[in-house]
Amino acid sequence: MGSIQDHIISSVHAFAPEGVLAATLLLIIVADLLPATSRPAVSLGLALGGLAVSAATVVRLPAGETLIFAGMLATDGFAATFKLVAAAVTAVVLVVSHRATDVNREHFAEYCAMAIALCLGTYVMVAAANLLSMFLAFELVSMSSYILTAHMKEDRKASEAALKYVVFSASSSAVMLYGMSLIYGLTGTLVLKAIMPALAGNTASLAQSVGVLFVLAGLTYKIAAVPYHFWCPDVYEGAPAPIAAFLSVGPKAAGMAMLARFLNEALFLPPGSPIRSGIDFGNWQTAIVLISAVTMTLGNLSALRQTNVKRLLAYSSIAHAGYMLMALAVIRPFGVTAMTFYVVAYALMNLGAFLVVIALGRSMRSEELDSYAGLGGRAPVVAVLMAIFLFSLAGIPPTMGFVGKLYLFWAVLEGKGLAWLAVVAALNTVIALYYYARILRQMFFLPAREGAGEIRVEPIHYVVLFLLAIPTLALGVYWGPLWGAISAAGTP
Amino acid sequence: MSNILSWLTFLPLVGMAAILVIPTRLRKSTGLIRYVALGTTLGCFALAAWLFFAFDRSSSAMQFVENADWIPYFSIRYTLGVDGLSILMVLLTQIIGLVGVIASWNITKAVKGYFALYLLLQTGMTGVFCALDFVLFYVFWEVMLLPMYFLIGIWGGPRKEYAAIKFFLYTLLGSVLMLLAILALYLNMQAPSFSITAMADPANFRADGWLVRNMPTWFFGLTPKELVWLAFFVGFAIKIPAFPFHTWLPDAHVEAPTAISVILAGILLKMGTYGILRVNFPILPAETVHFATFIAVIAVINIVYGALCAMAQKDLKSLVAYSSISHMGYVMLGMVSWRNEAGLNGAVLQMFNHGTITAMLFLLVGVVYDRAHHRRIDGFGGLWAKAPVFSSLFVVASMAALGLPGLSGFISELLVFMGAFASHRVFAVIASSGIVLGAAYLLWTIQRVFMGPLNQAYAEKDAMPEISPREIASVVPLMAIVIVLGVYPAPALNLIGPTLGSLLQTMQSAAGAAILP
Repeated sequence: MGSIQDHIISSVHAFAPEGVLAATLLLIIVADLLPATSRPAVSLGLALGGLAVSAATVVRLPAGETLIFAGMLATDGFAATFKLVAAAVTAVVLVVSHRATDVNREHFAEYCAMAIALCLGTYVMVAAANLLSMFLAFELVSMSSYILTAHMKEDRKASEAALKYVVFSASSSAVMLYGMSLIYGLTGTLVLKAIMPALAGNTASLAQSVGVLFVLAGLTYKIAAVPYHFWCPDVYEGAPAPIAAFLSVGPKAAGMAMLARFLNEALFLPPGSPIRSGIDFGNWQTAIVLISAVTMTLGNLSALRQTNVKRLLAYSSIAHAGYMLMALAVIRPFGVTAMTFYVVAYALMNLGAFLVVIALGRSMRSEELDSYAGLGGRAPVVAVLMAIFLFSLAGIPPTMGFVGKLYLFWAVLEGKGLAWLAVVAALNTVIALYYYARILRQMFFLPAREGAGEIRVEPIHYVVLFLLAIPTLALGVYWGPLWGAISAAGTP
Repeated sequence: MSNILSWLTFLPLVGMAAILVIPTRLRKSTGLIRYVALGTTLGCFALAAWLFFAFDRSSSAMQFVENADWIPYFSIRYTLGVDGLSILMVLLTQIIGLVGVIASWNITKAVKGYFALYLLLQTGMTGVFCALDFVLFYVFWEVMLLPMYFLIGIWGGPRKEYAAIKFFLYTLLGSVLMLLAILALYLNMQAPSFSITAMADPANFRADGWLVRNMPTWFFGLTPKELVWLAFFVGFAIKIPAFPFHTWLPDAHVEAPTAISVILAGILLKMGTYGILRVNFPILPAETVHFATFIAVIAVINIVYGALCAMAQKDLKSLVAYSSISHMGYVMLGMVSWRNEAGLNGAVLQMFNHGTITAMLFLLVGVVYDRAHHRRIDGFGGLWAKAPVFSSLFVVASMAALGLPGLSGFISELLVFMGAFASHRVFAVIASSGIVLGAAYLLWTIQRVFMGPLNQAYAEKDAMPEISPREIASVVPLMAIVIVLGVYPAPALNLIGPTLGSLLQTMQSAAGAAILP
């Protein structure tokens, strides 16, 4: 028994980032109970401080892969990269929420606490190396997401969105859990790395396929990929805009990381091992390739006719999940690195686009596409920033979105026989441009509607918009160091 | 002046930054913005003039090369350089850029945004012609797209939104295919490199790569190299625009403001043929030979179909637009004529000449539109009586377009046909009908617009004022070039000769026995 205790105690220091977040969460709740500190600014300050400290501890952790808590979590560079992204995204969302219209200021402390909990969940998700920890982290993220979606209790649309979210999430979690139980039943192990060798000696190929497919189903739900994408537009439309922004980036990035780890560690056959039909990676590759192609095409085609900007961005985020999956289909270090790079780009540009919606929300009181008419004249700075984010989402240089797409295409062309997928993605890029250009058309080509009010944007929103737009452009011109850092961090 | 090409490429960006910081509240900000734009393009023009004299006319190699690390992880480099193929296009870009600013002087809507985007466009265009690294090339190619989209969409005519998005989608479709082709080439390199010049050497490709093995694929039995060739070709053909990818052009031209039509016709169309000559020819010569007849057929369709469409137009601007399609056909026909040197030289010279001549025509159509507020050919008549200077300028420009000897269009079309008759006799005969058709639609237009009795709508004294000095200033430089090159084309031909000579050798050796009589 002593050795397990020793192991757990020695693992604790590697769990410091998550520990800091958990402490922050409690601190925010306690501070809200004391009358002297029960103010939104205090909650925000505590949350940001906690995020900063935990990000610092992530950076300071020794490099190199270690499994902690008996193989439950992996603290490798890959997880660290995603943790930093999650912390940054959470910080941006909280700063923006502080002055957003559709966030309840009376309950801002709960809001901050839940956002920190979501961030904690993503921390664990990206590090989970065991089916059990995968599921726990997955549920933590889901629970916090429902609460955040329903944060505006009086808003019927938000409540409806949250309910849809709960139902969808619960069923997909159940499916995933069932898949996990099948895998456990077949292999007798929950540790990802032990699954493949154990499966290799097994003959129940149908059960294996069903088990793995069910686990994939849960993950495609989290990244909002077809066929588990239906919740996404409704939830994004109903949720407060900052939460829609958060959900479109944070959990999706974590889902991609979890998927990459699951594919890499549980299903990827080490070179030289005997390949058996039914369980070799090739079959999962086919599944991923198909999901990827269908997701990007369906997402883009559905986005074409949207009239609500948040819904449009929701479908665009579905399509982006398809692009990212494309790189995971070629499960080799380059593909995963390309995916990670794209996640960073996506976080910047998608948060930026949503932030424009948030920043305009106060003056416009509408998220309909045609309320953006004439924005180029009414608020030129915001309109130009939005154009930068949209061009980046469309993958047009010189933006980071282009560089990200370049690497995704590159990864796919390196994979054997997948050139057609690259062509499908390329054609999708053209379709996507059409609906991004519909926003541009409203903003720049059409005159403002009569009675369109003056646009006022909070100074803090301007600051954050620029903080997102500058790297979107700068990393589109010079991205070498960032790529170096991400590829040095390694893959699972 | 070791980094003259960087200066040339990024000077407009500096001008753009200067324009962006001029506060619009300033009383004379509009004038200031215009003069900053004019100063920037004048500066570019001066640099181009220096480049013209400093260029070594005896060499076929890249000159003024700049080569620096950009993204070292994948050997993406910042490489610029010009050879005989690009120098003429770089010069043309600076000339048209300057003329376009003069023609934009009467823009009053959102002047700051207009000239900022205009200068960004110029950076993109110059960059495309100078870039020798594929990633850089692609970035400039797309950077040029963004301002064009807004320039058409914001400052354009009644159907501007449709025209703008159509232009954008068409070009993006071409460029994403091109991006895949670029990656396919890169992944087959022996040592990682995106260098356009390095890819022209077959020894730089991996012998065991799928590109070199070149086995037929499931896709209509085409080989990987042929697929790569086609991806590049479609990307460039959309820009030319080659039949059947031409439908964006009339829309974009008709809706775009005058100066932007000038740039579209003067420079952007040339990027298509430039790209084919820069990429498809040297990097995939065997496939180019394989598809040469295919290009020639498209060229003939462009020439004849474009001319027939032009004849049917009721709008002056779309007439000039369709005449562009027809004239770009000569370029394509010339560039696949390899029996003698005339074809390629004629093609590249025609790129330059078409740029100057069509720019003139668009400028003059813009002049008449500013006065009449319509462009219907049958809505004019007898304008010569009211505006003789304008009318004579228009007639000279039309004569240049229809290939009158003594004007530059004649020389390049003659060279193209000298090459084409030797290489593709049947196609050349069919294509020569384009000359007749060209004369027909241009002369008929002149007759309907300038001859005959004066249209009573313009009978009043100040109904159709004479062309203004500013407008003359925008046309005259181009006309001077057209006349000088029409009489003495050597300055242009000397620039391009050696480079095209070595390109022709590449093509002839790839074509082998097939080409020799």
